[in-house]
Amino acid sequence: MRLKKWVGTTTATVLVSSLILAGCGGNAKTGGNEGSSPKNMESAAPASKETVTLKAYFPGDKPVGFDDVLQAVNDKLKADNVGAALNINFLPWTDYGNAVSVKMSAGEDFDMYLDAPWISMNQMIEGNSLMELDAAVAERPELKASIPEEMWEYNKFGGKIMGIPLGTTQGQLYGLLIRKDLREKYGLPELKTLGDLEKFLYMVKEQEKDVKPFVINGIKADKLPFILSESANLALDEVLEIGVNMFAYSIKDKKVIGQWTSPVIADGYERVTQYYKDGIISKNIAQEQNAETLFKQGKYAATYYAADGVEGLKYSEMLRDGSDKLEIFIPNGDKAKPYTAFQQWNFLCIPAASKHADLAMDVANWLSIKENHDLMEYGIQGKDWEPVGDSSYKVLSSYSFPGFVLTWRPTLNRTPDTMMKDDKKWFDFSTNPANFTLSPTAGFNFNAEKVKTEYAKITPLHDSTFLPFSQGLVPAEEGKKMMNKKMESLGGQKVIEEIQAQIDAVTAGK
Amino acid sequence: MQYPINTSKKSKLNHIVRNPFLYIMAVPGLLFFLVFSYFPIYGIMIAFKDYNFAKGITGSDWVGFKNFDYFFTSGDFWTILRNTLVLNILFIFFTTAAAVLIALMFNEIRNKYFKRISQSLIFLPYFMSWIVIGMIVQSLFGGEEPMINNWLQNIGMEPVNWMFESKLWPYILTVIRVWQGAGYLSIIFLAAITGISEDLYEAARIDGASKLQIVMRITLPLLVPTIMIMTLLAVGKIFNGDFAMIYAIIGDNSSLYPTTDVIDTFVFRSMRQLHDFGMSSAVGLFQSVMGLVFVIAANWVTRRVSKESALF
Repeated sequence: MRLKKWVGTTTATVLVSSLILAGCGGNAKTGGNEGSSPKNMESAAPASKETVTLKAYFPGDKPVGFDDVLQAVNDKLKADNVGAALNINFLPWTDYGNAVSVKMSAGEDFDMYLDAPWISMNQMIEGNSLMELDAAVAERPELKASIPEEMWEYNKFGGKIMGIPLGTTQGQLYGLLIRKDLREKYGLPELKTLGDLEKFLYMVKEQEKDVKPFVINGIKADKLPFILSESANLALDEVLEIGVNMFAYSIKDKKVIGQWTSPVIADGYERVTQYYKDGIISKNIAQEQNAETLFKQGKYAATYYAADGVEGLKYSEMLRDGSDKLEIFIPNGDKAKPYTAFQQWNFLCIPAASKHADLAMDVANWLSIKENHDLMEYGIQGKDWEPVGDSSYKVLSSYSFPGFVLTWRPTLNRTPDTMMKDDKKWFDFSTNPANFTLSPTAGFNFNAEKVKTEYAKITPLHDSTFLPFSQGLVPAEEGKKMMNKKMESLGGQKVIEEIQAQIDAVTAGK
Repeated sequence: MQYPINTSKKSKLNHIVRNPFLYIMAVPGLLFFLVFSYFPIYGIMIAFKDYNFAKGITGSDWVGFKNFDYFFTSGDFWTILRNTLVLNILFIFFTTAAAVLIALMFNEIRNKYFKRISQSLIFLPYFMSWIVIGMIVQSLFGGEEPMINNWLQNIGMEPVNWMFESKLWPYILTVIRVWQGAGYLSIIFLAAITGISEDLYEAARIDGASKLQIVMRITLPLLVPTIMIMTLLAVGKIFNGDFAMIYAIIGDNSSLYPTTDVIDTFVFRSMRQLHDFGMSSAVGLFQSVMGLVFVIAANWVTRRVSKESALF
């Protein structure tokens, strides 16, 4: 009994003192909030808001040291009198999509989660399961400002903001990561053109016994013809990536076409075929999954690169010895201005059933303030990271938050100080909307509902036919014929027509 | 060996009263199937609906057999069906044969310790995850210089381009499957053998039967009911490709699809972008119905051959 009493007293004391503390914090800090949320000020007591715990679902494993960071985030949320605390749950990737759909249809009460067209976002929107966010975004200046206008504009669904677009780069810039030391060994000048690259790759093949020319993961090879084409990274007659695998959009005749028939990258397919035949591309490409490791082990002279802030960092450990042996080759780098739809692949969504949608948006806004953003994404300053200038940071611990689920903001992004110089250059290039050309199909998001039988039938073609052909395994001419034939027999034409209709609807509205 | 079962209601009740613990022990299993297999059956209707999260299972619109369309009209339907059946038949046949053989051999081992150790070793692969096995297979057959090719070259044979030779893979997969699953099955058979009355063996020995004769005339015939039950259970899943196994080993290697793409891996690739519950359920339903048909057929055949061995 005595113990019980003691516990009771202590709890009461802690509660009272924390209320007082929270009150103080609130009073001191409300300055920033008054302007942004006048509505709340009327209804809630001005001193300290009641803390509501918001439940969030994100995919992946819980980051190392996450509990400490989350605690710090919640403390700061409290100190800033946001009135919310976060309860973040990580679900394994393998069944994330199913898990959230089931939670949604079961009517579970949660307040935010990651969704995307490649998870279940279109179906969720169709089923009216997501909150429209236009008004909420407009009311939250920090959130609005931290994401470029283009990103808001071109990531709407049916003309509405259905999720906060999460991303850092504004478009895709492709290239190759090259072993600079080898290039210098042969006395070759810096690679500027595909011709230079070819010379380098063939030189490696002839001269090196233990180093092979080029490695890429089989599944990534659908990008190879883009990179190995004279049209790489330029905005020419065709938009190659419209967000539907295997299809492109020809601007000249305003037609949806198969990527495999594209005249713009026809030379890319020819090169792939040639390189595979000559052993420049690894014979193993179809089942290659370890390109990263093999390149790191020094067994290859070139590998795939994309300026997305992820791909290049994978190799930064190769430079830990202080050497300077890597460089990045971006075809047409000096005049690159690729098409982009300003499309992002990840969205922070608020379920329509959430009881605290406004608060969830307040948290999203709060996370758009650099200090708070840094705390969530990079961890506790001094323990997990140390700032290096405004756009870089030094990693101190193994804390690594998957920013794409919640915190990615192009304007607030920091890159690790281990990022190689070339990589940082191209990554920074890619975060600026001005370095891209607006694609005429921007705003188009394929909704396969109407042709889902046909779409389900042609989807496996990507792996069974399209990939081997993009890998060079199947020669260009033969591959084209195979693709045409199979597409036709599986009702691909219906899919093309549906994509065409949806793109026409988008372009007509402009 | 067979219990004389009287099927009248009274004696059944009697049986329960006399052996309460037998039935209590069955309860968890029954509950499991009730909750996870029988209750969810009503979800079958998803296969005939344009399932929509918001409208729920009962509220979604009926679409008849539309969800089945994509699967049956896809160009690869027959290849996939053939692969699924061929692989499963190979797996079932060779795993069972190997398991029976192993069980018979175990039964002859007299040294207790040797028996225990070898049992454990042969059982071990069953506990390995397919992902791990997939990696072992990759290191044996994959890469630019597969380990197997090194061995082949060492004994003076030509190297083989494993990852392109789709014809070889049904055999490779069968070997892997037998290695992985035969140990487990052999333990079940061994338990059945242990249950055979010692009197029969003693009588046989007195009559001067040889070891081989004992195996052929006593052990094997008395093992047949167990073999049939295990086989019938496996036949029920004959239309289910083992996704974990095939995907862990074959992955996205399209060169091997012609012989290794099974229903489950195909559906996985088709649904990668659509995530359509209706279409996936349609295929699942098809697999179950075909599984049921095959079980009934196999049981019917079994009944014709030997009535006691049939499951029902």
